[in-house]
Amino acid sequence: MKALRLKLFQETACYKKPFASKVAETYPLPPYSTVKGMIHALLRADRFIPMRLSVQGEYEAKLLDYQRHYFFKKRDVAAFPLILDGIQDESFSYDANEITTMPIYTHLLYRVDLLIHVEAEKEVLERVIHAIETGENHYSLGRWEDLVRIDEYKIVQVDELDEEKDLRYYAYIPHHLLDIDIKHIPYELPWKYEVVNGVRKWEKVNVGYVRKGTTAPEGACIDEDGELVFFHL
Amino acid sequence: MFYAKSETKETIREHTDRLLDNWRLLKDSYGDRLIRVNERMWELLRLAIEYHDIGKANTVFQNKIRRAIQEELLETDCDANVPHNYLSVGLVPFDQFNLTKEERRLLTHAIGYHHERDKLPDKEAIRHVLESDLYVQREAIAKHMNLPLVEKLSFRFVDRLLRRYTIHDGEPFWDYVLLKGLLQRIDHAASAHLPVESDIHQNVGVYVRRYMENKSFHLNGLQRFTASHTHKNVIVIAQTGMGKTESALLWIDRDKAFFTLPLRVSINAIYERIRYQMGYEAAGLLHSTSAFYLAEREEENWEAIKQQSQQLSMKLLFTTVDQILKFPFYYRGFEKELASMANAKVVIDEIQAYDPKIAAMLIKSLEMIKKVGGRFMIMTATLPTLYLDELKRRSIIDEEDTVFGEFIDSQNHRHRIQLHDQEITEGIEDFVRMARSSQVLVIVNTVRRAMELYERLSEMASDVPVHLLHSQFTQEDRQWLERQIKEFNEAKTNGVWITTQLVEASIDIDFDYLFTEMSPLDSLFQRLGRCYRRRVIQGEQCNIHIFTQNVSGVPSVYDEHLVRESICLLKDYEGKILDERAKIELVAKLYERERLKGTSFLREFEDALSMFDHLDPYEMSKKEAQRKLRDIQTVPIIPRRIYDEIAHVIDECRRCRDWRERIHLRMEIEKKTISVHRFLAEKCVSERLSKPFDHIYIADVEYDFDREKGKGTGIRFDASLSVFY
Repeated sequence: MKALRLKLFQETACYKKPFASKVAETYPLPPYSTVKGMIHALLRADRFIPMRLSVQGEYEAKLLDYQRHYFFKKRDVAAFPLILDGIQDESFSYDANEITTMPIYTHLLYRVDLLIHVEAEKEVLERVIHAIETGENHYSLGRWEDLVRIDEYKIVQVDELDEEKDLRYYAYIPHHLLDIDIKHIPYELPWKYEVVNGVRKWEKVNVGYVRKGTTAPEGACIDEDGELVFFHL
Repeated sequence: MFYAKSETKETIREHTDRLLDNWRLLKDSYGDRLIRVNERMWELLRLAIEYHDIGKANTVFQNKIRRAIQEELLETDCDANVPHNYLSVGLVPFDQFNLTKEERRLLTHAIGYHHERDKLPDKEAIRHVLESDLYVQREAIAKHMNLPLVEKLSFRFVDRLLRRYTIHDGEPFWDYVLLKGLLQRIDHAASAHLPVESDIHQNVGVYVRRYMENKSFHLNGLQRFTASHTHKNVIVIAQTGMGKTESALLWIDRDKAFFTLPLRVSINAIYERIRYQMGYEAAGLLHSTSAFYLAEREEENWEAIKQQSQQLSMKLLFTTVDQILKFPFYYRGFEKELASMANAKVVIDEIQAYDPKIAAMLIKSLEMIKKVGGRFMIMTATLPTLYLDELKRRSIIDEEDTVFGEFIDSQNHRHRIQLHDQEITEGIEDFVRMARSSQVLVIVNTVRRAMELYERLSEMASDVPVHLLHSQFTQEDRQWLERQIKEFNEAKTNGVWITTQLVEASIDIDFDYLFTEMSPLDSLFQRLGRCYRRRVIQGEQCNIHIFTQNVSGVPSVYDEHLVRESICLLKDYEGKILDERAKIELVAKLYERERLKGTSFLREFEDALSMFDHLDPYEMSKKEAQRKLRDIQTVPIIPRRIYDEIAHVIDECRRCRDWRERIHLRMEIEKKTISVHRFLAEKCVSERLSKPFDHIYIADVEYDFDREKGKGTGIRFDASLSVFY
């Protein structure tokens, strides 16, 4: 099978965990939903496009920063622009009885290298490449301010792994591939959502976060250049 | 030729065969007692044995042995030093054995960790040695071992080893404990050229019965009870003097057993009784100074006994809890001790005598023993309700497996008590007067208080003989004094002995009057047991005088709340007979959870339990676990003057080449030491001896004892050496 391989770099990144409300904790690698979001943004998609993902990578260090967070005090508040982009010249104010702000500790990953494989219809992959080649905006992965540099994009052949091979990067390995006796940290990663009664209902994927150097489990895949691939579906 | 051991020049195959012999021995002797080990598990254990040392075939290891036995070294390009236990796993042809996933993991972990190392397996180094060295010699190794080896190397097992078994693995965890623990037992026994189990057919029950018959004793209720429940866990509450030891031995009967007691001296005493009075030879002794003891006792086989005891292969082993029941710490290698419980019975005597932290450890131990299929007996004079509740709460004792008995003689009254709302010093007149015509025992809570009393009495220069016994004499003086107090008691000489709680448990004496400082009830009732031990009280006079004011050792030795509650509980018995049933009920009341609220006793107990419940396994080394357990607060010291007297012995011992002689000299030196609390020692210690005695310190303090006269206070912290010394 063919897949699009992306090598990405970020100076800093925070892939915030959804329920980390006192401290903005980050996942160690972008969850599938975040990567999926970036690709959909590249494609300017307005609906879900079917695809499979494999996420691997590493970072140099973790650091702390502050970020202003907005808190809603009531369930129903007057309209509030979620994105302030483009309105910074206009004066914007909010009702302190309804909204409050607080600086919050934010965990940042520093110097992140990512290796992403995307498997989708050929036409979709080609559109992604086109978007990368002709894009006019910067791209980000995770938070808006965490810019991403695309160091490589390449269509590669992916096959089943038959040799024994050790992981070159840290990786999310889906649960069905994992041997129970491989040491890992379990995560439940968001993948995509449906809107049910006006609320996003997330489909989750159970994965293990596995250290580099670990021997890849049976059933994994490998691309033509010898990079391991762990598709999430 | 592949060597496994340098001392014996044994090959790997020869060593492995020794293990297989032991495997057979264990299976034939205790196979049906190991209820958790089914045929499949025996087979896994056999495979683990076959392959456990195969990694020793690597050239670096072989050259290490060759150097030691002065044989020509082998040529090699591979110089990585990788522990053989990790390498062994890499050569096992798992695919040929038709194992389930879990069995594969069990085998991997049993072999991979049959030695515990400080360093984790390093995949790159393991890969290097397996590929460039062992794989190349594959055929020679297979031929030497007569075993199939792996066709194609895989290094997945290294990742598997990194995910160690924990309690959260559920039932497989206990399988792992047994598999690895039994492998280690068998391996260690084989390395020592000993059988993994000795004296299998000995039956201590037979010896006890014969001994009792010879003495024309009949089994009493307690003994009949335990003898008829040899297949159950047993909890008995019985007062001292009921023949508890015999009843425990009758319960043990034909099984392998570990007999634990809080005090080394009482362990030695019981060992002596069984070994020499009953003539039972399949008994071993294991505690921190057991070798000294055995050698001193002129036991001919003391080395063999010590070795077999350490290997836990003895049929009946007398030991302290810190030697064998510390596995709740999950130190690296804990599996061996726990696995040896699986085909054995363990007796815990006097559980109330342990401090709450250790009691928590014992409760956790019992929980784990139950999991691996061992059986236990708790026997005690008083069982704190708190402990009993915890045992029930954790389902360690249940109706199906456990029987419960209470054996108390409340017919014969031994003690009438009088409480004094005074300090013990105010009782001096009284006990001096009584000591003119009888034997008076005075027990106080601290050494300092004992010395004070002794000095005051000595100054009074009365006609009454006064003696002192506490823990801060040198080992040999203390032993001498312990003999003296027994002889004094037997000879029915009149006089006073001033002692600390030291005499509570270990010394078998029977005085006419007891004057004591208040202490928590369990301790207090033990003290009562030294007075009218074998007699019945007549008349209206009180033989027990308890002083409740300004008692020493609170809160440093005893919890204040416990002492206060104890006084309250005792008030109702003022001037009355205190019979055995009342004692047990009072202690039960004192140690109810409700009553203990807010005490350091309860806090320590609960903190310790919660620690054991949440401990990360394999974090600790065995030594650390032992250190946590022992009273690390005490250090052995030698007073300066005594040191000067024996300095030449220390030199001699260092020079001595004959190890038997060395042990003898070493004992001579240890005899001169005194165990004192670290905080006391810190004030007066000036130097530390050099190796191998670097655990002993020299203290610049006076030591006052005259063996000829039997007089002296022992160590004197208050009087430092004179400047002219």
